[in-house]
Amino acid sequence: MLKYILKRILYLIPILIGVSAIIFALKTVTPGDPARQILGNDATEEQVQEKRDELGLNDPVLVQYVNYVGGIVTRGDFGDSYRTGEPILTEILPRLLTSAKITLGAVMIGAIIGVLLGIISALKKYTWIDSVVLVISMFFQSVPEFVVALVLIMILAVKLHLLPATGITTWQGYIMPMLCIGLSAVAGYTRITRSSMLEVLGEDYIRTARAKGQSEKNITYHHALRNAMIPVAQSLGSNIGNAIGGGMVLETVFGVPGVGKYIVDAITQRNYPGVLGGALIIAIILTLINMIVDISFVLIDPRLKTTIISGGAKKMPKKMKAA
Amino acid sequence: MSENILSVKNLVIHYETDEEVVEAVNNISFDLKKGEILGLVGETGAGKTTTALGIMGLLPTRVGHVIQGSIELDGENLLEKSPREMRKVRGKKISMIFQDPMTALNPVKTVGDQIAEVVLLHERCSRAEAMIRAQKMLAMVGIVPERYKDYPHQFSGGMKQRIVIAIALACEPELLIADEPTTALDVTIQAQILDMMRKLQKEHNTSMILITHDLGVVAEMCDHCAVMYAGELVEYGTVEDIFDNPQHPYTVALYKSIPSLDKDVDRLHVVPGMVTDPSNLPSGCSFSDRCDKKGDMCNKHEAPGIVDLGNGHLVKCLKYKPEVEEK
Amino acid sequence: MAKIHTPAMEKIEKRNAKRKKPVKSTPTTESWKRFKRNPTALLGLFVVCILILVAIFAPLIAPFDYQKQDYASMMQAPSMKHLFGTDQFGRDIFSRVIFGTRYSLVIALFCTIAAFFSGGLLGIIAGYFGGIADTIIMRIMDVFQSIPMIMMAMCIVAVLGNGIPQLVAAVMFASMPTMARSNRAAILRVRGSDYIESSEAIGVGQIRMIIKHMIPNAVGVMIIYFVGFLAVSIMMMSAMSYIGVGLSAPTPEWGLILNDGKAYLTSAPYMMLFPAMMIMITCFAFNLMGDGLRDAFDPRLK
Repeated sequence: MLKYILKRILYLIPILIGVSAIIFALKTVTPGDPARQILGNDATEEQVQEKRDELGLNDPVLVQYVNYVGGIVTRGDFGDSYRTGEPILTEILPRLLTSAKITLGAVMIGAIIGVLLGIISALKKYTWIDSVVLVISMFFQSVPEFVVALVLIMILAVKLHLLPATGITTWQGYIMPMLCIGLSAVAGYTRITRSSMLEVLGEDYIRTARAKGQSEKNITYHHALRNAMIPVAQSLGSNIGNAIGGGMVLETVFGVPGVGKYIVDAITQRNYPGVLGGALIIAIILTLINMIVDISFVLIDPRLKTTIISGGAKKMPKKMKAA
Repeated sequence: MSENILSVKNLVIHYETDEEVVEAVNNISFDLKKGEILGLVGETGAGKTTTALGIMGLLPTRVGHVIQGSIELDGENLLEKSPREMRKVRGKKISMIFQDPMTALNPVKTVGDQIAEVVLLHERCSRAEAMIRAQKMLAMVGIVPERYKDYPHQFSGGMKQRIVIAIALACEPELLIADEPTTALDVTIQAQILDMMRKLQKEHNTSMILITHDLGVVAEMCDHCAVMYAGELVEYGTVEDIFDNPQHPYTVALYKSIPSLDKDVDRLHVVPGMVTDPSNLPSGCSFSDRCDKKGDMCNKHEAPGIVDLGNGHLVKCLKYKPEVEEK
Repeated sequence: MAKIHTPAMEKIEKRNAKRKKPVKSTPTTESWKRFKRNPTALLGLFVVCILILVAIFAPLIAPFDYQKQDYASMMQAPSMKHLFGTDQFGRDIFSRVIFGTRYSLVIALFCTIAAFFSGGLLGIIAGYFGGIADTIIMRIMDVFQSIPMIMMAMCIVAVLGNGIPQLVAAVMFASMPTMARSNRAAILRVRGSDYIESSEAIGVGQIRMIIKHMIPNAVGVMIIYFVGFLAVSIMMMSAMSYIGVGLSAPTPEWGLILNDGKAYLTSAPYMMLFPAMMIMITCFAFNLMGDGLRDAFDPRLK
């Protein structure tokens, strides 16, 4: 088991190198001269050249890349903001906490409600409850979160004055952003739980359990649920990814000072180190979350445990790859 | 030994979907005596598994319907029981072994848990006692009891079928239904499993319905044999009756299709045509399209009734009802 | 012993009697039959058809020029003259939304086609050839996937600048991992099936195999992805232009119309309501249709 975790951590390295390479590639093709951007239009050509030397922009690309990654690994240096001159990391860290609170909280709550709804929907297959749940979850899964957010603001804030339209200075401010992320998480989890549950309930071992005289309730909770949870748990990583992506726009809509808004602001202000540094930090976090999800799988599915402990399978099991 | 443990009368089962109605089981009746083994033989789609599921009360919900008939176990009609009462029967009085052991076990539960589950459901005992019982059952089917905490994927196909058998026998049921228990296994393992099943059946004096399409297995294991075709019971009798003196043209055709060591033949005999589509049965005798002894009356007359040829050898064919042909 | 008739049988007989002649049963007609029975899918198809018609006949439907600024009628609430009201430049929002259908659908279509020709093709190659090609492609896709799709698209647009080609390129790159993954899975499923093995056994050539056997069998799944991705592109595009990256004014794209109304959310909420509705309806309709297609092509999944 320990060996597997170690292997998974080692597996992070190529991914992070790849992600940083993509980000770095974007950085180098970015239009405009960073030195000029930092110094402003008044600076002389010499000053700009000096700054370029200082920033290492005159070095070969590969050297620049090694320095960039080296800076991240040794000093946590993702570059400085063009706008404030502050290191990106110091600017992002406190915002990360805000985003994490909202995103993780909403996804977790959404997952619990979604799984419950999915089970109900699967058990009441082909009844009106199932149809209603299905259509509503389809709606919230297909409609962009920021549009839902806008409509919610129009109704709850502008019309009814129940909640503040923007800002998270009071606890009420958290409700709408979390609701938007939560609704789409509920929708996603409902649908995946339902289809997974239906598939599992058709399996032969469910028939075996019935043949034993087991009650439907126990069959659902003891036999079906644990098997059905495997694809559901697998989707956690990608769901958090989606929530972070959707959160970028949502934070802008609601004026939440999170990472998403930081990146969006950086984009509109042409603060490229902010954009790319932010994206890289998010990518690192997501990769870590995915790793944790993969590892926690092994605890749910004994089939994976044996393949991993025995080390029989050189390649990762197919199911893991899909995660 | 003469007491009937199971008595199926005029059983009709249909599968109803929006598109069509499949007449899977058409009016079959048979009895099973205590301690006996009944072989249920027929081609794929003949309604063997449906009959078994009907007895278990496990027909697919919403689709499978028992239209008429009765299934009596120890004199009690199972069809009149509530789902709750049926749950007490399943696993305790009747058990079933399914065709494919690879998928019949829950992949995320240990085999010990899965055997203990049925014990806990039907017998008053603690978890620890149930676990001990599970280990005993494993030993009984020839698996090292210490493996009770292993998961299904750690066992081979034959071993899994042994575990399924252990689950089925854990509560010493009166009736065991085995639905093609060896079809999915290697030939070498098949014999082992069948030997074990017969040994256990004798030891516990369990009655058994053995569903198979392998006539050799029937000859080896069964006391009585029922041949099914298109949801009907076309011939029923003791194994001796059926094997030495087959009467229905379908049974005769089935025998001709078995390779024989004694006779030297170039080609095996094939029953002509395809299995009749049970959603679109012909009028009259279902087998008439493929029958080589077909007479003029076979399609015109209503489906033939059952004729007793004496000492319980039943045949469903117009050949044996001369009065009909004279009409 | 007479055959037993049940109510269910009678019902079916009655229905069959109504049908004039039996329809030839091919996989396509079977799929269509299943699709027809699904009311939500039909609704989705209906709405999508209307949207396409609106996009085609936009100039005939829209009462005003979507670009024409009319300072005499600024910020008017919805009325008979201006169905959805007017914006801060006096432009008719109804006309803008109608033309927005055209822009949104066409750009989404470009994005989807581009995504299929890049990521989709990579996935097909990875799935068909397997081995090293598969490993390399999928590892690279793993890397791409660790950045959320919309964030990736925004980063690319931030670097490339605004404009339709840039937007299409951004969506294409961002969607590459998802596209590659799903198309690879579709090909793998077909590739693993017995009929491919048997055609391999009788010596069917590789090209012929792909064209004659694999694509026709995988095409159902690919259509589903295609329709699904149209909705995803509209989602991403509108989100990006709402924030102000990707497309720039005065293109009447729905997200941009929302962006225009952003400042007037409290005073003139109608400015955002109608384009928001259009985005909702469109995404929902495409998904309903896509879901219906999935059930129709692959009834096992239902």
